[in-house]
Amino acid sequence: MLRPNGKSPATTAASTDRPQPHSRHPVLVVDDGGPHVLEIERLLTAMRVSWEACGPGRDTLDAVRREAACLIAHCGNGKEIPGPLIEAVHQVAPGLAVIVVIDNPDVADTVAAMRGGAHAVIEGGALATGLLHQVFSLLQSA
Amino acid sequence: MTAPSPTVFIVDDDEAVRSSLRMLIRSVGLQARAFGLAHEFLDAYAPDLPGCIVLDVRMPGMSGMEMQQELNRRGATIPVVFITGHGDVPMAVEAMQHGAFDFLQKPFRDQDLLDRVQRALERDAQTRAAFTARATIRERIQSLTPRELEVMRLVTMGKANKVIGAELGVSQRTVEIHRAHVMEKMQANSLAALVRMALDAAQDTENS
Repeated sequence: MLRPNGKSPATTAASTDRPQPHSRHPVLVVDDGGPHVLEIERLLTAMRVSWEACGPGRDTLDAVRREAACLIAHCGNGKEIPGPLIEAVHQVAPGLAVIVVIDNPDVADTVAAMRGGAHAVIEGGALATGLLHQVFSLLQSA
Repeated sequence: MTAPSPTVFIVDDDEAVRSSLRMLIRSVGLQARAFGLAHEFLDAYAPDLPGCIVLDVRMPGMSGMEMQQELNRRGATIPVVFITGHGDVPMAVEAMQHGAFDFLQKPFRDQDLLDRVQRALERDAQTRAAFTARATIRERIQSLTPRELEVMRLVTMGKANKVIGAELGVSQRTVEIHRAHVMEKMQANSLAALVRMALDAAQDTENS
């Protein structure tokens, strides 16, 4: 299941003053149906970043087989660090940056996710600044 | 000559923390050296010394993060375990993205730090062993003649002696002799081992 940003529910996002990042490939967002996903999509649209949503599990792996700028996955409260997901993604798309969004992570959760192969961890409560910083730096260094 | 024992370098501006960490690390039989400022450590640091660094994030002058970046600029591979009393998620992410081995928030249990130090020392030993192995392969490759080098390249591409002979315009027997020299000089006991060495050497060239 792929849902391009043209059909995104995001409509009210504010624009950003930053220069627009360029990437030939979309940012993939794992849509697990959680509330954070809509917010992530809304913010990416506000950042004028091209994104596509994909379903969890096998759908994610199918999506990363095509080219992607990075993958954003929400993983609950941090006790569900998606190590196996990151490993599976890297088998299909070696080197693809996986940004993990965690609700109320502590430093130990963060370090565990990073050691598990995440490119970055973003706090669920600080999505805007986290996405802006991590996605922009990734796209600009691409 | 035996390799020097690993040293745990402690860099923290707080004298009390330095003393207690030094004591803790020495209590498990490891060598420890402590520095109060990043510059002091950088001035004293010799990359050939095995070990790891326990590094405070916040220090006057050069911060722990800046010191890590300076080590990166110098190409140092020594693992860094950050410790901080004011850590947050973005800080941990930044440190890990810049290659920190671990990031620990104060106050921490003694055993937690010792476990991380132990793992960091193991990582350092692995990195150094891999570096030595690559250097050995480089030396062996440098001992090959241009013709042997060419034969090695073709052999590791999976080409048969007969094909190599045709490509180089020499007899199959000549290729066999060069191939034997290559195996001997590279100390490879099988074609698979030779291929691994060639891949390591190629990777090494790519990284340098």
